[in-house]
Amino acid sequence: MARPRTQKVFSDLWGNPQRSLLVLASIVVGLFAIGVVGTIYVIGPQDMRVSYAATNPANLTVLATPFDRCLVNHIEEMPGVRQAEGARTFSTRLESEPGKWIAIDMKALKDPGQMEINQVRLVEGVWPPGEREIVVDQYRLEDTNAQIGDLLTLELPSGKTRQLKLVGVVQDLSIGANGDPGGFFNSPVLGYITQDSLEWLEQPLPKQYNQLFVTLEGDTENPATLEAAAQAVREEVKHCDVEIISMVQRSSTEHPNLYLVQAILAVLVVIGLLVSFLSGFLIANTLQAIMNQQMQQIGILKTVGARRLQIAGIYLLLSLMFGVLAYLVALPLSLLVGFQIVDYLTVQINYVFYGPRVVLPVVVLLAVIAVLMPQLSALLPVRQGTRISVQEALSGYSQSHPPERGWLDHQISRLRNYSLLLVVSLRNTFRRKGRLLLTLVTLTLGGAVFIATFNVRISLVQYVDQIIQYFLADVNITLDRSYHIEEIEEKIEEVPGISMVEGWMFARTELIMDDGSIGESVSLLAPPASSPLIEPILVDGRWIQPGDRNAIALSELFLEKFPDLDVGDTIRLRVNGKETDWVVVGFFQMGGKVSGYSAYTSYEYLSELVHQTGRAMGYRVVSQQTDMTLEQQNALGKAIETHLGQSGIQVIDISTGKSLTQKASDGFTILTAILLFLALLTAMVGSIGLAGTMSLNVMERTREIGILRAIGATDLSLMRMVLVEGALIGIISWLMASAAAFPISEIMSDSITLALFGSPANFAFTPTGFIVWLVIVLILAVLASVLPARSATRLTIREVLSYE
Amino acid sequence: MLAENPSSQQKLHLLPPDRCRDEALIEMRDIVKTFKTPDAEFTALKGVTACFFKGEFVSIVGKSGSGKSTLANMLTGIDHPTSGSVRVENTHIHKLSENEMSRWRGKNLGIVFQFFQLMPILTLLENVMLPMAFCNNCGAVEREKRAMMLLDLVGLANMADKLPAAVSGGQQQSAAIARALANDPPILIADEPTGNLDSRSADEVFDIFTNLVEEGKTILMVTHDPGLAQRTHRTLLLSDGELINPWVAQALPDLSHSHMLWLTHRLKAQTLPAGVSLPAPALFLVTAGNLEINNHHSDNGFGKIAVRPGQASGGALHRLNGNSQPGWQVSTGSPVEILTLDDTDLQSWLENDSAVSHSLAKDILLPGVKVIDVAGQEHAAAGDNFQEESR
Amino acid sequence: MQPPALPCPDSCQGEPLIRLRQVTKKYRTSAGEFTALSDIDLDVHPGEYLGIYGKSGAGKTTLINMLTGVDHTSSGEVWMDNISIHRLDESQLALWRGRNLGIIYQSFYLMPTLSLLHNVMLPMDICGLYRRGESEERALELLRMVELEDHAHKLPSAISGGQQQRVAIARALANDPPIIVADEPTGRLDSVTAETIFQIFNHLIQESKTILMVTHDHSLLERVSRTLRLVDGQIADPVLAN
Repeated sequence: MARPRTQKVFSDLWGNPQRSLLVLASIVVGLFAIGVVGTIYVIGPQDMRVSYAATNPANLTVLATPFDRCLVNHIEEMPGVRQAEGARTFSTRLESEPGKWIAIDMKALKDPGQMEINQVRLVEGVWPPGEREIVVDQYRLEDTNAQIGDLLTLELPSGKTRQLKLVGVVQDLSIGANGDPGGFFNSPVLGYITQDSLEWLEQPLPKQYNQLFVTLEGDTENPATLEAAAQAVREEVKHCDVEIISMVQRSSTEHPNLYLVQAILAVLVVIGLLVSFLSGFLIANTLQAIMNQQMQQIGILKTVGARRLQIAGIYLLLSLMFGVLAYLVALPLSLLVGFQIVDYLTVQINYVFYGPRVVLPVVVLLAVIAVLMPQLSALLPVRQGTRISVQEALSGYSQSHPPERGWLDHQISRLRNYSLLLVVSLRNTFRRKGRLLLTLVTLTLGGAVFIATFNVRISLVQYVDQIIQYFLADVNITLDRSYHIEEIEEKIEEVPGISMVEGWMFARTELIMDDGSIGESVSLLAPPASSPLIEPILVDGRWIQPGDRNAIALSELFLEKFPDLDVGDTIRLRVNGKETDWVVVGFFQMGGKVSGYSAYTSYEYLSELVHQTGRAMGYRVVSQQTDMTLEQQNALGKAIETHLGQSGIQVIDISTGKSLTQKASDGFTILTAILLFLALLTAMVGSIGLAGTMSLNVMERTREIGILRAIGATDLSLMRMVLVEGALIGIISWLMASAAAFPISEIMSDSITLALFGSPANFAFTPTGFIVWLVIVLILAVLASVLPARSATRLTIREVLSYE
Repeated sequence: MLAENPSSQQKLHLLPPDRCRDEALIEMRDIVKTFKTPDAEFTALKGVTACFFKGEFVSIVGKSGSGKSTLANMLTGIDHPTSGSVRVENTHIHKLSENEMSRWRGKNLGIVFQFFQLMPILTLLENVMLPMAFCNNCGAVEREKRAMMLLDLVGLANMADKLPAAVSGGQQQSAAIARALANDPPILIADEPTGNLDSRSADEVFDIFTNLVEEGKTILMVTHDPGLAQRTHRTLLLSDGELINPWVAQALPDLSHSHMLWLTHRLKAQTLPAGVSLPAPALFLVTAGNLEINNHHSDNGFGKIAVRPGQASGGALHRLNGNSQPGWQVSTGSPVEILTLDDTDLQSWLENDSAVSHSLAKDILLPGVKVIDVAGQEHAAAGDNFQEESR
Repeated sequence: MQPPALPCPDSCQGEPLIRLRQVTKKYRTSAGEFTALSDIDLDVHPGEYLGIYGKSGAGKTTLINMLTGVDHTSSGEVWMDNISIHRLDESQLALWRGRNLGIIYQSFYLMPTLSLLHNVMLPMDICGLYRRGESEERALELLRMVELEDHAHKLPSAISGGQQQRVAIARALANDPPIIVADEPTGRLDSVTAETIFQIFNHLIQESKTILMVTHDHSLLERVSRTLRLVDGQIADPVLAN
């Protein structure tokens, strides 16, 4: 049989289920937030690294001019090299729907079954494909509208089509590893075939490779190792008279999308800590109210001889029990949800989830917090509560501090002729300033984060939308070879609804460093100098102007990698094998890291440089109709392609302006979904706080409610008074949340865009978040006040006043 | 003690039911109130019938646990009777819902509680304005002005902007009275209004009440202080949930309340026609008319004394003075109404409870002994004198 | 150093158990300074049944608070069994109170979430005079004494007011304190129930306990062996026996 003191703790736990649930909820929310974030934090990157490493990823990926097996063998025999493998990659188009063609990147291996480096994971069907068969990566499988067993129609260089049977679906974790960050999200459909099918697909030099994969010995985590190896490989490749178009280095554990996850996690950790901090506040608030309610019992304890420490012990034990109970609920729940999230993201972020497991750090961390947090929060309320004198405790009269009439009180008084009941509500709201503050803090922070989420999304979308500034044409076309611009212009303008056609030039270049070594690959785009189809966002300097010769504008990524680079400096690029000097006239912003190292110069100069004056492979088309939808752009594109095709001009790639940004913003949906989830958690903490406060306020005032009834207050006037009080708190907190939302939004969107894109976004906000939160908080306030008020007004006065 | 009995100033009505029904402002019929606890039932009021007239100042007295606060709660509608009816003016308030009750109360009733129950967050002025804010159709009134006027009435005009915690208990109670008057209700019900006050404040509060009654208000005051009760027009005495016959309380004030209640149940009403003479009943109280009780064996001028309404005497009470002579007679001039107790009942009562004779001896009028009071007046003795000898 | 003894009323035997010397209590309220007790001198002997009587506001509750150590004097001394409790700190005072005083209130003040048995066991649990097994037995014994042992596992809300007060008495006796203080113990009870309470008190006097009872009900004074009347914070007619 338990001692009376311990029994009291248990009775208090079960005695008032409503209140106990409230306390439990406050603790559980905090623990849950930390648990979920902790689980993702531990497992996410862990599984990403492990699953990536399991594919035996390439440390060096080289794109070069065609080479054969001999080079591969040479490389493999180099010291420090573990394995080397070659593959043939090319791009073409695939018919996803009748008449609709989408881009597809093909990877052809001599013997896919023997693929050593960048191994793929079989998801469905059969691996490796046989001759004239194809296997597709799962990420973009949907775009193909095909299932295993279907035939995929591919376009050949001659314009004919051939069909390959889809026999399998795989997961290729190396997508995006060989290019710029974010490449995964921008990648097209990926197909795998055997090298034997190449000839059948009319690919030239079917026996040759154009991609080299190298794995290294030694510490591949060390960038020096990678750099040294890269240099050595470069030399060796040069020896064999093969030209490197691009080379990428990567450690064996750095999953291509790891950076994204780390960015998200950073934000999540902050929010998780915020939520638990807030929940600590909540607990303190509720415990204080419990102590107030228990005043009489504390008085009784004192009269039978209990010392302060004994009494404190009872309530600290109570909060410990709350903590333990909350732990038992929150631990499995947060692990479960954490696993769910990590599992869900496997496709979105391209890794393998190795299943639920005991996440020891989370188990221990939550246990520590569950024990400590309620106790810490309880310290102050318990100290205050046990201090009370027996006299005050039993009689309920507080002899200390009669409330002072401050400036606020006098202002409120002036309303009394207008509505005395409003005065009562106002005074009640500000009655317990400490409790009001705690409630406001939690509700405000919750609201601010909630609103910020909406703003952050807009910032991200806007940031990405910048990209479209550089693709203002409705349709972007790439032909199979260079044609005379005039000829193509004429032809395209035969299609109805065309307003303008421009010929653009494109070159893949390499940066030549000061010491002569070859550096990053740089995509060089050359629109006509005065093209209206680009509206660049400059961060320094100026844009290309008519009359410029070797002027070049660089993407802001250059600034990050080469901080000393400035407007007016000269850089050297190798264009089509020739080294040339360029003068930097400006730096532009275009989606940061996502768009990589890109540069712009004038068509006039570049075409002259490569002896292709008046000719171009790329064309930009603008329709007469302004503001076309994606469908309309697609239709126009199709019309143009068909028309050109009729003249024997083959289009090898066609994309619409709008589709470019579509893909990028899709990626943000996951991010914002997670942010919103946590924002809701924070908001929930705030709401629990509000609900708790209002119900405590009402409960403590049941006596007053009885008096008001006795002097003539109807149900309606009572409810109104309580409602106004709740609404007041709601509105005040909304105002505070709105103010706090600005700095919080800015911090959040800056950190996310910095992590994702390498540069902070311009601040943007949308009224949506503010309005939604206002509605939510008002509904909450009404519910939080009305529900306890209803039960209070139902009591008869006699029960409330308890005479005799 | 008898000479200065101020309760003789009180009007006593044993009211005919018709008069109650027709003329009374407030009428309570057969009020029974039972409280259920999980273990047992407790009946706080066991069938109380009473009525009150306009302009009366009535006190309701009883010990703690007698049911007086419960009775007040029936009148204010704070609680509902288990059975019975309560009529105030034309409204049967026991039939109203909580909401309707609140509304009715705001207009018609002012309640003054024992523990003031002012809203601690409002100033005294705002507290007084509060009932006006709740009452929607109480006539357009300049609320603040009226509230100030009421505070002035109770002598608190200069405290209007203070919070309740900043003024004394007596002042808080006065403010509560002002609040009760906010909507100018015709009836005020006060439950132990001076219970928590020192004697001086209690007097001030009582004075306010008497002034209000003079202005035509009807006030019912519950109190356990018999001193205060005596200063009201009429007193209802409650004991263990029942009303004590006011004549009993009047004539035999030294009995304990439970004894008074016992008598209330046992006394029978009797009418004596004019001009008769018969043996004195063992114990009787006169409620109307006068009669004489004669002790033939007395040789001084007090062998024959008059017994008036509100006084008690009795043929069997000679035993109290050790006198064993029986045979006292009563004679009536006009018709007389009395309440009587028969001999056997009286005997067993006296035997079972020694305290009874003690108390009776103090209050009954007996012929045969004269006493001169402080004003020099000669009276027939009440039992006091005999006490000294029988000690 | 001991205070001098006051002249002994009829009911006293031997050395005083409780001594108050020049006890004064003043309160500072926002309406000014208020003197609740002034210069109280009092001796209570073991075994006395003392009734403290006065109207509301006369200072009865304040006097009790001084005796129980629940409140401190503004000036003056309080000696209980030769311990100057006005010199004890809060912690010592609480412990002393738990072991030496049993307090009974008008509003019973039972712990609402504990069973009757646990309520009676509470003082023993707090003050540590009895071991766990002992205290349960003893609590049952006490409940038996007040004829409520059949209800031992019920909650206070399940029994009537009179029964609750009986439990409160049992609790007050838990640590077998020599002094019982009762503040309007029958204030909320009807006359029949009140009678049973007084029977128990009489029984306690026979068991040599000292009882101090506060009341504003004149008629209760018939029961005590000695009456003390308080008027406006002072003792009126000291040393007046019934």
